[in-house]
Amino acid sequence: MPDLDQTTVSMKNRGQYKEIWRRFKKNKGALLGLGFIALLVVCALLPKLIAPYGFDDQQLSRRFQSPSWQYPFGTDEYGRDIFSRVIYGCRISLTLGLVSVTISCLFGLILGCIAGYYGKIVDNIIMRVIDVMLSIPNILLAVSIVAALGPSFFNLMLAIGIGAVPGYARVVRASILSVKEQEYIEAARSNGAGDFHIIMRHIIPNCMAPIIVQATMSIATAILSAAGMSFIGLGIMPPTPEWGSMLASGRAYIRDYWYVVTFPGLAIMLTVFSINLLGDGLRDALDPRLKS
Amino acid sequence: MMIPVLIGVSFVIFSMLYFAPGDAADVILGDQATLSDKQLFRAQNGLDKPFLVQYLNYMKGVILRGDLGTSYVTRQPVTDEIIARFPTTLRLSALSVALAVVIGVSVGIISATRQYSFIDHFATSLSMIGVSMPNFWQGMMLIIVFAVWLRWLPPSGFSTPLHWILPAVTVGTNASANIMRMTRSSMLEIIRQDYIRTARAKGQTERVVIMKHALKNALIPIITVVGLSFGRLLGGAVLTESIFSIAGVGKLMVDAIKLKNTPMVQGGVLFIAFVMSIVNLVVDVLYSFADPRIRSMYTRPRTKKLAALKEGA
Repeated sequence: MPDLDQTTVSMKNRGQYKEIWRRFKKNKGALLGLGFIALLVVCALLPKLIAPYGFDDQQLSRRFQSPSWQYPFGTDEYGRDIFSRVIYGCRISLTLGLVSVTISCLFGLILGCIAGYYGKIVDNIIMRVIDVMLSIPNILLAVSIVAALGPSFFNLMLAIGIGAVPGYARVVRASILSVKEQEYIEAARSNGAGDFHIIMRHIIPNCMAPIIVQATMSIATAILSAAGMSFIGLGIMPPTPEWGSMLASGRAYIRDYWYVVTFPGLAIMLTVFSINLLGDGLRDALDPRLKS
Repeated sequence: MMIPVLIGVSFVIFSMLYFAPGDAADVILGDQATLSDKQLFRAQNGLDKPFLVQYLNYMKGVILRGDLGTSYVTRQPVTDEIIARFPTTLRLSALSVALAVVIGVSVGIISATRQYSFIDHFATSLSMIGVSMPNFWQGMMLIIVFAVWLRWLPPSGFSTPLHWILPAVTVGTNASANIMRMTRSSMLEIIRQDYIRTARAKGQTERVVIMKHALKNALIPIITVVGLSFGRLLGGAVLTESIFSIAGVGKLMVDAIKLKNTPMVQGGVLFIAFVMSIVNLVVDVLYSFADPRIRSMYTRPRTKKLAALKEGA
């Protein structure tokens, strides 16, 4: 019998994905977001092909050039091409977003599953710990973790990831609570399935929609927080072309050279904007009931 | 509920900073200090005691005397330094939240009542952009336009009302984006309810229908978001404060973290958690003003008791 079960599930899934894509396509904003993200991914994978200069090519004779055909976004205080640095920055921001979201997703999923599935005392303890974490402002939590561990790329991702764990745990817990009492869970249990099997095979697949949406949206938040952390000097250090640290080093010159801070910020904004558009589109496509 | 959370926060922060690599004595005294100097410093600050003793001593001071320790850098009580900075942060947060509520709620209502109109699309896209902008970058752009190019407003400081405008607009517009989205979705849900149709059917003017019947019922999620952003601002307008060189709590904290001024960091985080839990408490009280059902949960037992007494008498 399990074989039959498998095939029906996968056939249903194929139909489902098509249906989701059909709904997703209708949302012009989400498609726009997806397109821009694809562009960013290309920039992140092949920056050498796109950027006209290296991210660290200094030309001290050409400091603070205004935007022109030669330097589309101008040059900074060391004569480096800002456009090229923005292109190289894609890789850092996208990696950072993905890795920190993976960290928080993993921990949030585990905590939320345990809390939601087992309930009672376990649930109470985990949720109180999460309340504690939520009453420390995210940026302060991230700042103290980085201060405690020392500033580095990985610690930054860890700090931002940990800060987002409570959000996931709550989403996961809530959706597990809504699924847990369904008949098919009871059926699985009466077939003799263990807790782990039930959670992995029956509960999580049925809670995927809100988790995927939350994950997409929090990539955006992670990129914003990382930029903020780099800006106060606790994130990625210059000369690495991270957008936030470009803003930090350009800050001293905003009175005379507007383009030094304008373009890296625009890059952050457009990236976060398209991820948010994508997240909105996914939410509507994955679960039409949630559509307002 | 508030007290266990605060104790939890204090424990988390205390242990995180305790187990963090790097010794406060090295950082504060510098490379020149001798070994005996460092030992003296540790003894003076109670840093040579075991972890739990240090934590309990700290908590005893906090609870009995409101004493959050002494700053390593300025040698002033942490409590005094935070209290000195707090009014500035409070003023910035209050101004920004007021602005955010005015913009967010009014635009949200307009958007919801004219769903899918041009105004609605424009406002939702704008709010989406608002959420996507790094707050500090928005601040820098405003400085470039209004302080550097137009020269209308001062670029930094927080001394006169003229100085308040740019920081408050920076933080306020950013917070208003969230409030607007929440107002819109909450209003959209309410507008479809039957009692709104009833109110219209009995010939009520649209203005009263929206303001009284719809908005009042849509208030709970709006209050939640406003409370959340107010709480966040009180502790976390770190970046805006640093952009505009405002001497608030956020800037104090970041400076303290950079200098490894542990008592200041602990005290600051604890203070912010305390302020946030007070904001949450106020939000809970406001819920009961907005929703009679919540209010009745707290008042019913008393009226029942009174009724029972009357019956007995």
